[in-house]
Amino acid sequence: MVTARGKSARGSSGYRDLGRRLSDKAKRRGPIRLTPADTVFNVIMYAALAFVLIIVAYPLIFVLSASFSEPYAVISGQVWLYPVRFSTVGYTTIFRDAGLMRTFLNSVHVTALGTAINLMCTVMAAYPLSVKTFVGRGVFMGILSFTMFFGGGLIPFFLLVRNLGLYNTYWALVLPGAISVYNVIVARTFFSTSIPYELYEAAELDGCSDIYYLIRVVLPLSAPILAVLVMYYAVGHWNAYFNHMIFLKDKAKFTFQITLRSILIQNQNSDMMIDASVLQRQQGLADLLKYSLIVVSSTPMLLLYPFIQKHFVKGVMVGAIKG
Amino acid sequence: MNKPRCQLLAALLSLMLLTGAASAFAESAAYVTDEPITFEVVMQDVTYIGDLNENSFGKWYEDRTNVHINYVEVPSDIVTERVNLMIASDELPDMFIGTVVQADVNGARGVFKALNGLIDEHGVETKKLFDEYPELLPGMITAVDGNIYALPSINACYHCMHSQRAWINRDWMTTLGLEYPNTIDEFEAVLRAFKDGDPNGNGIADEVPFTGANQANQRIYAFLLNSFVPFYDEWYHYIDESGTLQFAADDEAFRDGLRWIKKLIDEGLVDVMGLTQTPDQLVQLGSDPAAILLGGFTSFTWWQGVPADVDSSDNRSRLYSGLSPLEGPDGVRHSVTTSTAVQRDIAVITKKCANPEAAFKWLDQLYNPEVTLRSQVGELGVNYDLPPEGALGINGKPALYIQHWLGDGETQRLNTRMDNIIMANRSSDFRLGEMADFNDPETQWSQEPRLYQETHDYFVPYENVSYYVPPLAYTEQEGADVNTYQTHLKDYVTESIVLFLTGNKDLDKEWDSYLSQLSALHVDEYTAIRQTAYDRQYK
Repeated sequence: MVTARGKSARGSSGYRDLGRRLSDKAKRRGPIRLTPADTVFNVIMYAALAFVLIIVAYPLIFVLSASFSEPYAVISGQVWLYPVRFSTVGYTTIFRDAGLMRTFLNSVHVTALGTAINLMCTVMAAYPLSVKTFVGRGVFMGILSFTMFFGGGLIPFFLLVRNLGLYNTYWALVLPGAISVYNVIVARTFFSTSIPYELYEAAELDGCSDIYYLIRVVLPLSAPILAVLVMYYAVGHWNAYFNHMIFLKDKAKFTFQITLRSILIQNQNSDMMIDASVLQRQQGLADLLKYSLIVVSSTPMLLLYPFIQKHFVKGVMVGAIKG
Repeated sequence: MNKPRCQLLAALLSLMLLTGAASAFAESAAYVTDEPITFEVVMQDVTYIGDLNENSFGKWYEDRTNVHINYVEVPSDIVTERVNLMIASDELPDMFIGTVVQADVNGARGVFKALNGLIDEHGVETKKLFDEYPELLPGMITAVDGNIYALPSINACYHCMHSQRAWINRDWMTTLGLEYPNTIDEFEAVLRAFKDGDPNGNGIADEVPFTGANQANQRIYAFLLNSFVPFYDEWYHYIDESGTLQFAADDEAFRDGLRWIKKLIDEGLVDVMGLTQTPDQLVQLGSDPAAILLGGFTSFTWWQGVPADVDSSDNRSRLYSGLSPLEGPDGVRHSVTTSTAVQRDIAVITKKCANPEAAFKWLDQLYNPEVTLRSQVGELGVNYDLPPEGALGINGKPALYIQHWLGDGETQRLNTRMDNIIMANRSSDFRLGEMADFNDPETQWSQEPRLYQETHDYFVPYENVSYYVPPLAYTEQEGADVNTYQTHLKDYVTESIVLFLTGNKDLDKEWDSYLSQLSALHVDEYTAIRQTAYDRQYK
């Protein structure tokens, strides 16, 4: 509830106590009286927020309901909010399909491996760049930034990966993008603004080496930014498909997004010459699996988010604003 | 090594190869090789078939040929990008099947092998094919330089050849006492009755007399324009009586056709949404559980507009029948024929292949009727059974197989065949050899018999195959130009048609600027190149 005396929220003890303190106040003095202007403001704001909530939540609810409805009910437009003729046939098909489950596990594998590599490389690049005494950090920063704006193009990229022997391996998906320069900048800014240099001096006095300092002092103090990096990178890997389609050759290595994408778009044929039975099977599969696949593919990242969310806003803001 | 010794060695080697091959053939005509060999083949990854390396057709064919194949699958929508990358980086397989990109160009560059010699020497089944389609083969698959780089697939899909179809609600016509429309005026009267007569009987004027969707084969104008000018939605060319290619989308008759369709739209007889809506929106409209809403619609199959039999309790799709093309003011009445039985550029052997003879024989055997049955229909007892004595197929000839249609999602991803993605010879007799017992009243409603019957009754009578421009072979420069021109022209024409029909562009005032824009997009060069290629190949 926004109050006329919202000032009290700015106490030094942080926003987490806000609710308790407000309710304490409310017990002592009764509800705070709102001026008419406040009321109007609140009404408009709640209406606007409710509107935004509906816009954001409706597609999610629709997909969820559609995934639990009989496919035909979805096609004929009977589903709009609640599941119609409850059915889990989409899910049972997915979980019984060995090929689909394998692609799912492959995606988990690539995401975990890729995120671990990303995190390691990003921290190792960002921390030195945050140390003011590090000689030549402007040069390194310049070189890194250069890659944000210029790339070699698809064919040279493919040739490079192939000549490095990474073609048809998961390394081709996790090594070329091991560092996102944007995330390095965010992490570097966090390190240089949130971790006082005095800590380093103190640790150094006690005989602490740089790497030990990074592991024992810097990282434990950097939970927010690590959480942010994990989220950015993991979502990136989970949703990636283009490199997967280009670099993976064995179907046994295909990831979930490749399959999801194929099922969703292969039935949109632009070819005039097509067999009705093929069209029917592609269409049928898409109708059957579309929504349950979307739910299954979104769930891992939705599950990850709550664990990270409490750090998320803080981490991004700290990294982004104080440049 | 000096030259004579080298030649001697080559002669010896080829002799050894020949005798090896001959002895293998002596054992079994189908065997390709004595020593097991392995090839890598790039094919399409389609959703309705599982992992090809575990496919039971692959194992069956391996037993038969002694050739082991490593199947590499490329998602079907990025085939061009992937194959171009493979060629650019020399990361080539032994063969491409169903994933061939620019066979003529890459063949001339030496990426794909010329197959003429192999066909002459080992093409047992391929030559039979050439005899089967003398008017099409080998001319249609020969590149400009006289070589054959890619083998075709044969898919004599009767109904696919009339892919521009429309469907009309026969039940409503009975309710309102209407005659089946043959001319555009009769059609207009039917639509007006649909609109005003409340044929679905719910007292609300919610009927949509005629609609379609914005996708190939579902565009309203692509069907209706054929009462004015032969209209091929892909290339806009047809061949006139003198053998000249005509571009249809700048014709006066084309403009008259648009005027008529615009009039129908303005009067609410044709649904303006049908110009832009997606196929999903169309089928949603046709599936409305409360009432039947569609009078007619343009679609490849009936179940793209109304629910298929298995989905609906009211068997709604049975109320519709094919709508023949209508006769226009100048007597034009044309059912678009969009394809031939021959699909070009299906299989190639690359320069990486160390044993092209074996690879070719392996490909050649795919045309064998027994192999085709196994690859396209599947496993005996699972996907098909042998018909009883005297049973007839869809075409009335003795049946070859009883197809088991597998309906639900699990079995749709079946892995017992490689239908439509591997090269095959699906002749007309093969496709229509599916057993159909027309004494059973349900048979007429099952997919293949119904597709055959509707096509036969409503579309084939109005076909004029001589209008159809068959696939053309270009030189590299021609091919590049034609592709660019066609892309731009198609975008512009498609967009302009919708603007004309919705009244955002005026058919009288803005027609000249439309024509001059077509010229700016090189319509004359486009037609000229295609004419040259056509004359070179088919005259």
